[in-house]
Amino acid sequence: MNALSLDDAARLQYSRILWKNPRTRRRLLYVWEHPEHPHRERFEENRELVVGFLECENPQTYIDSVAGAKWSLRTLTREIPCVIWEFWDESKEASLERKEEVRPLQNAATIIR
Amino acid sequence: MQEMSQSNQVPLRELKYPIQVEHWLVDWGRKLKAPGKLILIGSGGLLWHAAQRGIESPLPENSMDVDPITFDDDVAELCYEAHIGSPFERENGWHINLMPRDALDGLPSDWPSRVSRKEYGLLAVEVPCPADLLAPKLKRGERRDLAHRQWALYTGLISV
Repeated sequence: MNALSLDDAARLQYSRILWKNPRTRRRLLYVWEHPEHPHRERFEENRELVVGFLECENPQTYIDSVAGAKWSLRTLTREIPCVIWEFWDESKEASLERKEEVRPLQNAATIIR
Repeated sequence: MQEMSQSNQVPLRELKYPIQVEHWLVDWGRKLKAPGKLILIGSGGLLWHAAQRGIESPLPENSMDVDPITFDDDVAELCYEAHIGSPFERENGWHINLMPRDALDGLPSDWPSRVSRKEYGLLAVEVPCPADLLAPKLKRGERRDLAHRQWALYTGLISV
C-alpha cells in the first residue's frame, strides 16, 4: 500500500470496502456499467482482473501472483473505475436485488436439470 | 446558518464554522441504519473540537471539505454520496473527501491514547486531539496550516 498516493490508496480501500457488501456492490456495478460512465469499456476489458483485485485478501500478493509484470499496485488501482454516484438510480435498487436473488435459483435449476 | 453567495441561492463553497461539522454529524447519525465509525482528521477535526467547546469563531482560510476515514461500508457509502460535485456539496457548500487509512500515519503514533469520542446515533466519531491534528499541518507549514494553528491557539484548543 505504501507505493500509493493518498488518492489511490483511498480508491483501493473504499472500493474494496463497498465491494464486500452485496448491496453496495450492486450499486458500484450499476454505476460502473452505466452507459455514460467514461471508463465503462475499460472496466469491461479488465473486469475479471479488477474484480479479483477487489475480492482478494492482500492486494500486493494478488498483483505478484496473478497480475504478472503488466500491472503494479498503482496501475491496477487506477483500473478501478471512479465512482460517479450521480448515475445511481434509487428506483433500481429493488429490481437489482430481485435479479440477484433469482440468479442462484436459476443456477440450482440448471444443476438439477 | 449557511451563508449565501450574491445570487442568494448557492451556498458559499466553504466550511468555517464549528457548528457546521456538528450539524453534519447529527444529520448522519440519523441517516445511518447500521452501526459505523469514522475518524475525523484535518481542519474538520479542529472544527469538531471547537464545536464541542461551544466556540463560534470561524476558521481562517476556510476549508472546502472534511477528511474522514472509515472502515465501514455504510459510512463509506454516505461519504461517497457527499463527495465533490454531489448534491450534498450543492446543499452545504463543502464536500466529503474520504481519506485512506494511510493518512493516519501523518499523526503522532500515539494519537489513539488522546483521541476524543462521541456517538451520534449509530455513528461513532473519533477525533484525534487538536495538537495531533495540527502535527501534519505544522510539518507541511503552508500559510493556511499556520493560520489554523493560530486559530487553535486563539480559541484555546491548544496552548503554547
